Amino acid sequence: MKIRSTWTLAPTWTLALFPLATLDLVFFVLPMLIMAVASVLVIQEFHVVFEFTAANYLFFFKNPLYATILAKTALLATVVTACCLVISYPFAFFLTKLPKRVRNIMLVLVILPFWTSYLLRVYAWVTILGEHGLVNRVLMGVGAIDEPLRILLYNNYAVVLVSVYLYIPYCALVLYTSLERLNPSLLTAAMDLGAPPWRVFVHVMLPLTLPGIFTSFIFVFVPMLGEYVTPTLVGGARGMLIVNVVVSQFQALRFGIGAAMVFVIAGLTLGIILVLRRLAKLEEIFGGRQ
Amino acid sequence: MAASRNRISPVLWLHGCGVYIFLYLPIALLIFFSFNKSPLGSFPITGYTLDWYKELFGEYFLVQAFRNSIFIAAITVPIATTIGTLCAFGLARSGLRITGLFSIFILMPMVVPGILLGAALLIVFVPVLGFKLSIWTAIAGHVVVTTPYAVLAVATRLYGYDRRLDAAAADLGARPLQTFIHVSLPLIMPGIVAAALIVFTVSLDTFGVTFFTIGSQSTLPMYIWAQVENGVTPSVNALGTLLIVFTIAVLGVANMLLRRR
Repeated sequence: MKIRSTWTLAPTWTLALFPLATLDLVFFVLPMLIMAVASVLVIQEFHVVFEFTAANYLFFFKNPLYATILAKTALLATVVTACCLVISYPFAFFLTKLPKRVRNIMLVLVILPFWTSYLLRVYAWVTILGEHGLVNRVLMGVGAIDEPLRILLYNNYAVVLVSVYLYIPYCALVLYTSLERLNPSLLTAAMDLGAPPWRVFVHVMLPLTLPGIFTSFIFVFVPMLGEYVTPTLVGGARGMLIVNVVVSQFQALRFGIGAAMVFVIAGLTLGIILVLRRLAKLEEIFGGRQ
Repeated sequence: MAASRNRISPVLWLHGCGVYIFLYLPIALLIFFSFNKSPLGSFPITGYTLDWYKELFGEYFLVQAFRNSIFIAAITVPIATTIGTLCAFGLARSGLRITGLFSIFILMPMVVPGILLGAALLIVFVPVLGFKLSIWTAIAGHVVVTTPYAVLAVATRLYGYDRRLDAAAADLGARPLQTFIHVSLPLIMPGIVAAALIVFTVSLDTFGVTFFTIGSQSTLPMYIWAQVENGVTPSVNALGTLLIVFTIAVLGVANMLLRRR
């Protein structure tokens, strides 16, 4: 790859990076920067007044309801991540054990739901857990209950269940790459030396796949902080998460307050990524092994 | 020894199958209910019908949403595919040292929650620039969100590209541009077509960024959202089934194109 001669056109190809760089600067970086600025400006109706203020942030932090919802979001995100890890780890291990040919098909089957509409996958759960949903129909059909259960939907548990369902593919794939790199003879060696399975797991497998575990944490926890569709459709008023609050601010045209909230979430996200970056070896995911 | 190491314990088998059932049951039920006679997902099934599919064609708002979705995708696909292809070539061939960092930067719009990106674009479009939200502001959002997918698709194909072919063309007297047009481009074409197909399906499914940037217009995901917020309607099952089947078919083709030789 280090061939540098005239036919490679190397310097000219740098120009090919410009359209996307420009697109991302104008429609991604700039909007984010403007939002950062908007969060400390006074915005009246549709006009920006150039007057700096911390009121937008104070509004957020002084209102205990918002702090509670933010804390609840972080808690639910932690629970979802933990559930995803516990379910995906043995599942990913199972995948690495399959014969090569079968394994490739099974991996495609893990990715496939990820490609079907996200909105529809959340909606599918409404048809299962809803008042007229499958679970209630079956339970009433066998005579276990007389009235449909309403506790199945519109609460925090439903949000956790559906989120776990949504994020298992991410988590399983990250753990799979981690477990696939694990040299199986290390496990055999540990067992040959008389270690019981749980010790092999705790002392050999777990430490070696720790980067994968941290990466999955980033891939599940971080997008969970930005979840809007799931809490709205299956969480209802009780299962509301922080982005629901943000969206309601934007819908009420309180752009400054909304922007401030986005940056509280963004700050939290960035903090988590920075802390976990070294541990997770994120670069490996993007294939850049310099 | 090797055999015993590769043996999968029954518990692991059971767990593995369980995860697949968990992943596919909701989608399977959605498809199943779309043919169910009873409007409420009744169980056991009372009969099969195609009524919910027929009903879709008579829905004025759905037809409108469908038109908008196709229009947005039709504009988004050429822009995102062109920009993405150029970028993939640039990443593979510029020989720049910062490409690793740059690729993380360009993948960011895939990672940031669409709804928050939509909110940021809303602030730029409405209070700052004073635009009126329309299909065009939504297209801007769709291009930003879908281009990283195009880059990845083309880069996948470029990854297996044998640079000696370019060298051979040069040896035979082709100028760099000729080499690109007559050698590189035709060889990478399947990747570019796959990129276009992927961008199309992602644009068709994009909800987050559309939510805040399209104003009073609608798209297919926005229509589904409005229906679902009003409660379960069987026609959504039918629409969903059509979308899922369509997406999987298109991505199957894209996947075949990306497979190397």
